[in-house]
Amino acid sequence: MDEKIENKHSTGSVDTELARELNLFHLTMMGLGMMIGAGVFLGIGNAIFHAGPGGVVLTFSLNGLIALFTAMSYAELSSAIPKAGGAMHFARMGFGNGTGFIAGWMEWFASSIAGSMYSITFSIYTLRYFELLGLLEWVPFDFYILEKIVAVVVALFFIYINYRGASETGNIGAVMTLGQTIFMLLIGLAGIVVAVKDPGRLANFKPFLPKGWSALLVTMGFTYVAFEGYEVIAQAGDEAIDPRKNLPKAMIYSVVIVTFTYMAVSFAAVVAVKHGSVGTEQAVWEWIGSFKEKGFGEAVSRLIPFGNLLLTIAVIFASTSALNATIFSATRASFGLGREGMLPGIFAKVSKKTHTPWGALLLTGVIIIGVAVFLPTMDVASSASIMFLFLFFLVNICVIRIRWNLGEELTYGYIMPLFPLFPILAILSQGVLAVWLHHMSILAWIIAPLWIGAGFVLYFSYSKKRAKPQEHDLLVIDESAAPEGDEYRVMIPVANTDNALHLAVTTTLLCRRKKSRIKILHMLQVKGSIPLTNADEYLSEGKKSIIEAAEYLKPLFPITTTVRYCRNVARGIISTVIEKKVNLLIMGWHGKIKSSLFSMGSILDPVIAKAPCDIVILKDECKNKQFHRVLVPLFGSSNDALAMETAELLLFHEEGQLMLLNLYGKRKREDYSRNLFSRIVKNRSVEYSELPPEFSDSVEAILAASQGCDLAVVGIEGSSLFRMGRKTLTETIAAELRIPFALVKSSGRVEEWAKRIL
Amino acid sequence: MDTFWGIVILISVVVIIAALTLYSRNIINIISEKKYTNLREIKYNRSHGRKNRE
Repeated sequence: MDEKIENKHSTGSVDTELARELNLFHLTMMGLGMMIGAGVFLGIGNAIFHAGPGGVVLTFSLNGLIALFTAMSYAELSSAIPKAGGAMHFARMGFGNGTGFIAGWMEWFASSIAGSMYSITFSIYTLRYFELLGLLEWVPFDFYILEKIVAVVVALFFIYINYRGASETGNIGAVMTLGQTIFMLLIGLAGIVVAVKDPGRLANFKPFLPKGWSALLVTMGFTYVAFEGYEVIAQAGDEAIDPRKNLPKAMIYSVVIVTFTYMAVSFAAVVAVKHGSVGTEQAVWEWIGSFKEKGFGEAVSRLIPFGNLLLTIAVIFASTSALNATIFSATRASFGLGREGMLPGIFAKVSKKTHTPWGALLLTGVIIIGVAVFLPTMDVASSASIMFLFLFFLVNICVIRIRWNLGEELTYGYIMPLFPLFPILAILSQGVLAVWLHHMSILAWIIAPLWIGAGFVLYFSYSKKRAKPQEHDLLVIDESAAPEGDEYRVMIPVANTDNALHLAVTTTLLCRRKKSRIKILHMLQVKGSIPLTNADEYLSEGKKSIIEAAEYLKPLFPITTTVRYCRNVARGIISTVIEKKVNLLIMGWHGKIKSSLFSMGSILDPVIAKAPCDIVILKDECKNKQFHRVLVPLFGSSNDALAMETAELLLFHEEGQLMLLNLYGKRKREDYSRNLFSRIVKNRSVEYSELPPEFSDSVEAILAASQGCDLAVVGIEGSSLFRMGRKTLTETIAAELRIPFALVKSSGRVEEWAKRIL
Repeated sequence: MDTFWGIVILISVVVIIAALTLYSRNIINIISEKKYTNLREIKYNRSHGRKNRE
């Protein structure tokens, strides 16, 4: 019972609840079940026909490699964002609501149509075997109608199984998949045994690629549908036990198992038949290929006893477990959209009795049965493949964007090596396969854009207005006024009443020369377990600190006050800076370095690295002090001007001495500091004093020069984000400096532009 | 010639898949056991992991 963690989520008027019951074995089998569907049984014969005996093995091995690249992207994202909705949530976090909706929309359709294909495959193979046994002679109507009826019945049965709950989904699916995987591996093993006993059968591989290397692209595109199982694993994020560990493992294991199984099985199919034993002098690969989708069955029936019967049973297992998995996947995709408010509320409804999303399941069932009955399934299945490939493009782009933008904030259970090499390789290779699919079905290239177009219409007419904010969004809970005009926009994030007044006083000094508008911000961090609707209970402390600062600043500047709800304070501040186009960010710092992982703290480090604006950070010791001699180390960087300007503004009554320490050496001209002083310092009563460095080491020089000064204003040099345990120059100075100090970072125009875009 | 390059590709694919799988399994286990909370910690510990284990 300890492993059954309840996951509750409030969606306003609709409450949903899912129980965690799927372990690593269940998840891996779900992925395998989706992959070892009917596709491989139909695909091997066709692959041999198009690419020859060596080509079929190469096809499955290369497809497996490409699939593994995408599986690694899925694994990384699922470990960091383990929620029902899979690709939809990844796209939403990476690119926003619109792309997220389209991803979920494509996913729902693709999985549903695949379900239709599997139910019809089950029907065709079962009825054909019964027909072979002479058991269907009594049927009074068209065989085609009987196929449709059986397809509907089997679809209804598995819809009911899914309605019964996730545990049943996992257990029944796992047993079926295990059976078919073992059967496939036995076929592969039989092939190896036959080849060892009779090495002459290896001659069946000559010629290795009778139709050339380009034929591989045809077969890879056609059989790629057999590698799409990791999507269904991503969908189970809400129901997986220990999802950060089990989801990525299940994805990678399932792709690897299926790749080696396919390679073994396709090898076995080629060596199954001895040359000349089938009464023809045709090459073996030509003979197998001539049966196309039935070629695999013809070969295997000669490899093992009762081959036809066993193969029929295997196809039944394969199609039903794949049907089960696709129903699960399609339901969770539409449930995810419903839960986020992008589809009507019925999609988010969960049965109180079985804890399964009955609304999404019902509507998924309608599509599966409708398509199975009315549409040409193979063409629509091709369009499902194209949409799966579009989805995979998106996921591979998302993994890059999310790692770059949100990587510091997410909790990863897996990170891929050599990032971003593998997502880029996956994008390129799957692009080729998607284009190649048009050789197979023109209708697919009509249906897919139509469905996506319908998705866009639905999004802009319905979903956009109703989409609920995602967890990593910021929610403005209380805002007194929106910023306007072209003033110099200054933001001060206040943490508590202690630092609020201090920051307000400093802000007055720093902004007095400019026509400034001050934004006072309090970021309210709320843990994921607390419902959004209860967030206002935690507002009181934030409001007090805002009022404290606002009372001081209100007579001097136009101000706006904001309390923002967020999951991560650093990201909240950065997002507000971007959204409100802030020019200057003024923050306080307690001055303690608590972890070797951070230079100045888990909030300041990312803010310094990513906020696209000028930043001034004041150590708490600056509070209530008057400064007459201010040290400004000049590194010859873009921070020098801001450091000098800040130093001047912090001087008591704008009178005193600026002690400029030359640390730029020969990188700048000799009169650099004098010119900078003349250009930046407005008050002519401020004295200029230049200090030659007494030590070659910057830190020692600053420490020596700081004696006799009452404040230091130091530029932040270098990034602290990738320090990997090494102390940065700024961190060393901050740790050793014995006088109050302020740190500044200037954001150049190009840098600011790049940060805002990226 | 096709056979030669075909076998070379097959062996290469198998080796790459095996290497990526082993790497992935190890990194998942390490992250899970150490209870790292974010990318910074993972990267830091990956670069200093050997030293720390010693």
